[in-house]
Amino acid sequence: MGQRMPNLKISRRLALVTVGAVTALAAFGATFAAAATPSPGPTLSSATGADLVQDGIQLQNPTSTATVSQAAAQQTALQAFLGSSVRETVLANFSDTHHVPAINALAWAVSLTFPSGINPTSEGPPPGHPGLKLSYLVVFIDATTGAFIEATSKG
Amino acid sequence: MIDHHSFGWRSLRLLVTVVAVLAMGTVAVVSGASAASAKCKPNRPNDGKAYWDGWERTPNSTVGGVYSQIYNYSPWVRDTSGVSAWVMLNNTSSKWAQDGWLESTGGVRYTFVQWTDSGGAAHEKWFSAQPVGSYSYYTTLWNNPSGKFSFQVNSRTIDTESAAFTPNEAEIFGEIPSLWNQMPGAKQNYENFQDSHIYISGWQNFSGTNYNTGGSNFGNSHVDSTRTDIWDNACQT
Repeated sequence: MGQRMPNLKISRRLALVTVGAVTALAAFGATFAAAATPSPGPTLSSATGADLVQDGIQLQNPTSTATVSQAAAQQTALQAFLGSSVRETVLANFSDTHHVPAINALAWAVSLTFPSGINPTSEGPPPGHPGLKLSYLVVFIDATTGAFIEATSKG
Repeated sequence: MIDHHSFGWRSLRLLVTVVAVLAMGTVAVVSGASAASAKCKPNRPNDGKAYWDGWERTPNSTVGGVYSQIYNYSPWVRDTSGVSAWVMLNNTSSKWAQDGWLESTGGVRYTFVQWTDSGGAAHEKWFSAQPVGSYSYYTTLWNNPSGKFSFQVNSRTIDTESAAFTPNEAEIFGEIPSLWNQMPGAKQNYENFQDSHIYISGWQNFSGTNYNTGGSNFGNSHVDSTRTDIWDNACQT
C-alpha cells in the first residue's frame, strides 16, 4: 500500500503534463494550419471553381482595391450581353492560363442569366443542339480600367 | 527668284491633286463603311430554328486542323441572339471545337471559341473582336500542342483547351439561331470563306461540299477549291 502512493502521484503528474502538451500541440497545429492554408478565394454559386478551373480560370482573393465600381462593371457586362440580368458579382484576382498569353488582372466577375430559351451562342455543327442551355455565363470586367476582358460559359 | 506664275500653276495642280486624293479616300472610306455595316432585316418569321450555310469536309480519317480567311461581316441580329461565322473540327454532331466571329444584340461583336468536354458539355469563351469589314484567318488545331485544341486568329494562338475527342470532320459555316436573323452576306456583298485549308496528314485545299440548311433563303457559291461564298437572299447589299 505504502509504495502505491508515489506511483499514483507520478501518474497524475504525467497525465497532467501529457494533457497540457497535447493541448499546446493542438493549439499550435490549429494556428499553423490556419496560417499555412490560404483562405478560399471568392466563389460564385452559379459556376463552381472546378468548372472555371477546367477552362483555365481561377478566382483568388483580391490583393488591391477596385477603382471601377461594382455597379459600373455590372452595367458593362449587361451591355456586352443585352437581354441578360445579373445573378451575382464578386471581386477577385482573376487569371486565365489557357488564354495565350495568360491573363492576370483584378476583375469583377459578373455572372449573368438569360431568359428561358435564349442562347447567345453557336449551337455547334448541324443539326445543332436546340436544347443547349447555358448553366452559367460569367463576364470578367477589369476592375482598374473598366474594360471587358473576356466571358466564359458552359452549356 | 520665284516664278509666281509657275508657282501658281504648281499650287493649283497640287491643290487639285490633293482634292482628288481626298475625294477618292472619302469614297473609299464611305464605301468601306457601307460594306462593313451592311445590316439588312430579312423580315422573316421567328421559327426558333438554327440554320447553317457554308461547306464541310468528311474525309473519314483524322483531321488535324482547319483554317479559313473569313470576312468579318456585320449582319442584322434580332434581340438576344447571336449570328456567327466560324471554322470547326468535329466528330459526329455532338463533339466539336470551333472559333470565329460572333455578333449579338446591339452590334456587340466577339471572337469566340467553343469546344465540348469529355462529358459532352459545350464550353465557350468570348474575347475582343476583329474589326468589322476586315478579313481574319480563323484556325482550329487538334493535338498541337499534344492533347489540346488550339484556337488561332491571324496565325496567333489565343487559347488552348483540353481535347476530349479525335476529329474526323471539318466545317466552315455561317450560322443563325432563327430565320429572324440575317445569314452573313448579301447578294452583292458576300460573306467570304477564302484560302480555306484542312490538315489531313498535311495541309491541303479544303475542297469541301457546299451545305445549306435554309433552302432558297440563302445562297452559296463554290468559287474554287479554297473558297466558298455565302449570302442571305433577302438582302441585296
